[in-house]
Amino acid sequence: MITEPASARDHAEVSALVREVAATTFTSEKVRAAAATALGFDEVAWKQLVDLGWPSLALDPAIGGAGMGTFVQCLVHRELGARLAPSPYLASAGLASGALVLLGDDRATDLLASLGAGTRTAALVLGHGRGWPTDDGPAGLTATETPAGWIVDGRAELVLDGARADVLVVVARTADAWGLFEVDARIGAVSRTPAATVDATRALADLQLTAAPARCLRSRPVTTDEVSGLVDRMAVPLAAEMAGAAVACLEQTLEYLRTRHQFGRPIGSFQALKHRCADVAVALTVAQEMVFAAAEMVDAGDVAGLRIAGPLLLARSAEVFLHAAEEAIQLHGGVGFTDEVDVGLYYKRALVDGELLAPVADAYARLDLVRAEGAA
Amino acid sequence: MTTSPTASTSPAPGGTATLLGHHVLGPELPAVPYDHPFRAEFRGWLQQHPLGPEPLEQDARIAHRRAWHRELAADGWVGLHWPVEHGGRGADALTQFMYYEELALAGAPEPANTPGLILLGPTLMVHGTEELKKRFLPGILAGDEAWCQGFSEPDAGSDLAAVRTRAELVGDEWVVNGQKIWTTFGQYADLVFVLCRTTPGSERHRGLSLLVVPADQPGVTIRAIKQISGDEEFCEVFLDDARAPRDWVVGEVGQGWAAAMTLFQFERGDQGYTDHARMLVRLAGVERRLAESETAGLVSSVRAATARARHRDLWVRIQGLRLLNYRGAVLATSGEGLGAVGSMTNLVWGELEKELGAAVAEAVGACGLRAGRHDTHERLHTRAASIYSGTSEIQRNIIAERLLGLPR
Ligand SMILES: Cc1cc2nc3c(=O)[nH]c(=O)nc-3n(C[C@H](O)[C@H](O)[C@H](O)COP(=O)(O)OP(=O)(O)OC[C@H]3O[C@@H](n4cnc5c(N)ncnc54)[C@H](O)[C@@H]3O)c2cc1C
Repeated sequence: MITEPASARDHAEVSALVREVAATTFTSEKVRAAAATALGFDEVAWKQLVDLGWPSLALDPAIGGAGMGTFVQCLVHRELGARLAPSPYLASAGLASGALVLLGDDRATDLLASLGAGTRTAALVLGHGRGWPTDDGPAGLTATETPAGWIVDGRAELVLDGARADVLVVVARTADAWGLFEVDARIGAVSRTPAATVDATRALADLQLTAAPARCLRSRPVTTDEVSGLVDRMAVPLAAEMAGAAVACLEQTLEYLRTRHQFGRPIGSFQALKHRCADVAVALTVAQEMVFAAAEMVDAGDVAGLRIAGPLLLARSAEVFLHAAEEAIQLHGGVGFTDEVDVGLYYKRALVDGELLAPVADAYARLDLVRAEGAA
Repeated sequence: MTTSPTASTSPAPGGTATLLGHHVLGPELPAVPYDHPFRAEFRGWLQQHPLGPEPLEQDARIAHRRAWHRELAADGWVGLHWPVEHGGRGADALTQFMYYEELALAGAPEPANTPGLILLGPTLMVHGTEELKKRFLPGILAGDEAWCQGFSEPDAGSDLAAVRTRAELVGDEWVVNGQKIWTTFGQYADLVFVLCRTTPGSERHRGLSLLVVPADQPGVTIRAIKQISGDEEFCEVFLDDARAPRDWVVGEVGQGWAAAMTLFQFERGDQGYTDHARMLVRLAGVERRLAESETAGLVSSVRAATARARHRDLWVRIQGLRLLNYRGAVLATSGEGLGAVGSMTNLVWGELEKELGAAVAEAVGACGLRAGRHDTHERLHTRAASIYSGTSEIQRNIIAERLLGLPR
């Protein structure tokens, strides 16, 4: 099928294991059933991932992690994406833990360790909203230091896992910069409303924080550039999930093209359809290379590289995933428009993933900006 | 297109409807001028008949469209191109073209009974017996009897000639057995027109007939299928010893393929005249909403700029569709059929419809992901446009093979 990125060859075994576990844990039936529950995820499956140690794959062994890096963690993201797994994994192990690793100091260690151990789950709430922040741009969330400690106020919409996470990892605007905070999600000062979207496999929520007591997770202020770096970094696990989902979507389509007959032939024998699949495959191969090249940058601490790779791979993965899903529906014909086959679920996931961190147009605008800086 | 007029779907105070101006449609075309007396007459009627917004919930939506159909029909505003003897006005295709444009400018929904009005009715006029015309045409026009199209089967989609449903004459009745699928609005239909094999052992295009089968009988089981949009607009139709009167055959027995081909001509022609105008009205609404979203900070200015470029592209392409439709109407008034040009219309329409549906949802940014919204629903709903009434791939095959003469 789609060729594995060259850099992933060393991890063939992990890859195969992860694929197998994901395929049995997140079958279509289980995914649909879990997505329909109140919490929108499968607690048993989550416990299984925790037992396998997956939430702490990339963490430092000193805090109980496996020290295998973001690269290996992205193999997990890719397979969970492929199965449309309704799981706290992206929000907690991908986004929130990633934010703590990147921006937190010693004060963040406890929280990071508990997220790695799976005893708690977290949602990442970016106070500037979607896209990349600017110094003078609006901020939905602000943090104020009071004699009794920090408090956070404001509103955040469509936050991944916002309604079910135990903890919110919040990036909020302070008087002169940004700050990284931990907010207990279960307190009265945090009002959480699940937001039903087209994709039930991603649990989103609208949050309202009203003088919510917060613990500061880093003594130094966070600069706007650092928040941008966080967005770049968040793009990597998200793009890994999108790439995985797109590959799965193409695989299902190929399977259908081999078995569905019209005019006495498998429809996959029609060149018009073959060429479309070939084009999707090319785009996907490139997208996967981008994802894993960026994962290597994360592991190498290459912030400058990610500055350009982040928006690039976010935009491309979103476009390629959406395109793969649209083609999947079309090439399935009438059945592709039904809820009975999964291609529609992939399409809806592509719509949501394409908005989670930044819409494509904003990612390209960011790319233009960063490229212009490089040229200057 | 920067200044978008306000929507016309909600009744204005005082009980008259606000109709969008003709500028929304683009440049004036010679045979259908904006000051044509027909337009003025129909606009006058539309102004006096404001209609409420279309509900999102499917049953309510169908009821809304049916009520609208009846309201139009009561004053003779349905099937204008039908001959006077069948309740129409004998209007030509250009009038029909203007009719659909004006309907769209009024924000009016699709006619409820498309399969009857656009497909079966006109086919009956070509192939049907006097008896069948008398029996069915009035009900179609009035919107009293709803129809659905029973052509596709699980193994006969693009390859329609592979239909296996069969009918056998037993005494004075056809006994029909088989399964149809993707039957739009089957659950609301009183009558199904079924393409089936009446010559045992026949193959492909031969030995087929087009039968009219009453939906409400023990031999007909209709099960709705859930769609990616959450709607259940199409159905499986199981025919187990379903009965149809011996005479309810459209065209000759065994000549069903010819009747089906006539019907497809209507699918690509008449139905086509309506679509560009509704698209232009929707696009005007999208442009207005985008501006609002930008002001409200729902979309960034870069995103809005990207969207505007896309809207301009859509507008240009819808103008292309409008010209194709216009050409079709001009040809029809001189008695010529559309031929394979109908496939161009169909192809252009289907692809545009999907992109327009996506533009509707994208105009509100991430809000277009939220469930229970018209814009969210529209994006999902329009994904089917390049699949039904012949997929885009099949339309391209028809254009390449029949119009351009490339080898099969
Ligand atoms: C919303 C909706 C409403 C519908 N309503 C009705 C209705 O009311 N009544 C009715 O009878 N039918 C209806 N249909 C059915 C519709 O006509 C069929 O879905 C359509 O003809 C395609 O057939 P299929 O679904 O079997 O797909 P298939 O024919 O299996 O096609 C699968 C894919 O293969 C491609 N393909 C097939 N043959 C070729 C070829 N030769 N060359 C290149 N590509 C090819 C197709 O383009 C498609 O991408 C509806 C469908 C939809 C989605």
